[in-house]
Amino acid sequence: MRDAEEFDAFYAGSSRRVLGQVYAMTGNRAEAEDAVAEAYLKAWDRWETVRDADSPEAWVRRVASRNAVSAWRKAVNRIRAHHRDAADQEIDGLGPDHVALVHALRQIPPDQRRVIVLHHLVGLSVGEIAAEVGAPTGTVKARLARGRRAMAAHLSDTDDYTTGRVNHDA
Amino acid sequence: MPSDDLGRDLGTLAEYGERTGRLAPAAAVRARADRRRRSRQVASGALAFLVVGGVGVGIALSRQTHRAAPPATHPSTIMAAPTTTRPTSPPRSSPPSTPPSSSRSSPPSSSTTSKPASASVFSGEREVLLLPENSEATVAVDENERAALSEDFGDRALFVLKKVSGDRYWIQTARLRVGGEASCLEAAATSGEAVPVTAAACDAAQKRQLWRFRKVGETDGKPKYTIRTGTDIYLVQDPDGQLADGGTGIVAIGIGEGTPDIDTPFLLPDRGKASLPALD
Repeated sequence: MRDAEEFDAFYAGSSRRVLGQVYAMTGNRAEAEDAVAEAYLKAWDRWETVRDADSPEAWVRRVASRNAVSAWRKAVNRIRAHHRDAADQEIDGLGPDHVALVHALRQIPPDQRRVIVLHHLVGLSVGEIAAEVGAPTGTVKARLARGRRAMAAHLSDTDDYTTGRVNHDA
Repeated sequence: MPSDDLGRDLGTLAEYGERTGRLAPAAAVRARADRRRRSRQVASGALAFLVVGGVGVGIALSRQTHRAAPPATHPSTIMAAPTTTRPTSPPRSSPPSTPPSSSRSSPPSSSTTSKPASASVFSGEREVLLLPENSEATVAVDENERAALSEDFGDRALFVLKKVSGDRYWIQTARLRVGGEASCLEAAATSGEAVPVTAAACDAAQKRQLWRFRKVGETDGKPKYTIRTGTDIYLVQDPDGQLADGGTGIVAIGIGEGTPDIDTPFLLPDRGKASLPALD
């Protein structure tokens, strides 16, 4: 039962945080819940490997992000209009500024959202993001810059996010 | 405008998600994963039964067909036509394969190892697909001789893994021919950035044609591998062209430590006996 206890402690200590991060990446609570649940299922399925990873939480977040991106693509292709209506209802609990932010996030490609969240929310450096998403640092920097620029274009009367500075420390 | 601090605003969003999102208890997650694993095992057993039965039926039908029909032209003697056939579904099963190199990461606790097949996909005698994990498309050679993601699992998507030396293999086109000879997948020169992978004339001295396979676990009981050349240049899928603008969905790229196991595994479904012409 030691494995189960370890996993349960890991789950209790990380799952809510990962859920919040994936929610910020997707802007959709149901998709985030599904993606995170699936990621922890896989984590338990491969627990012997995952628990020895440098950061089991990063492992789960990586898998959940990929799940969310996949779900997002399918949702966009299938039910774009319905999805938008449902999303508007879902974020009723947020203030108008943050609703605008969610909408702006949804307008940019998932890979750009992912690096923006990893950098600005999770606090990872460009080097750490590159390792997590499996892309060169130059690609990460480009996604950050493009993502912020695109978000600014979708947000009214602001370009503040385009001037954000990137922490290049590895 | 939300505010001038993107990090703080994202933090507010994340807190909202944390607070309002629903997650099952840990025990329920484990139980669901265990149920799914048992279902996979049952399904694999059933599938094996069907495959064995199907082979038996196929042999019987084949014997009848040989009596009635003239012999067909062998696929390996014709040039593969441009892919115009209707997309077909990914394969559901493959015989077990023997990896050429040991895994650094251990599979799940069940640690069921595949029995060695009579002819491994690494024997140079089998046609295989290079199927990215969790992908509905497979690697194929497009009309510009570039490796690409394709939903056509036909001739252009079939390869033969032929040992060149040690743990290094050519990935040869199984049926596609240029000047009557198979081509080999070759990564373009790179210092780590994403570059195309092309089908070129096979050359054992060309190191960027020599690929190594490392088993990184199993999916539904089937082994999966990372595929790399050089020191750390991996074959990866890039379905949205995020790594390479105008890409084909398949690139070679330098990847940092720790990510290949998750981001780049390929399944190697066995699609039957290869009939490569002798090249040496």
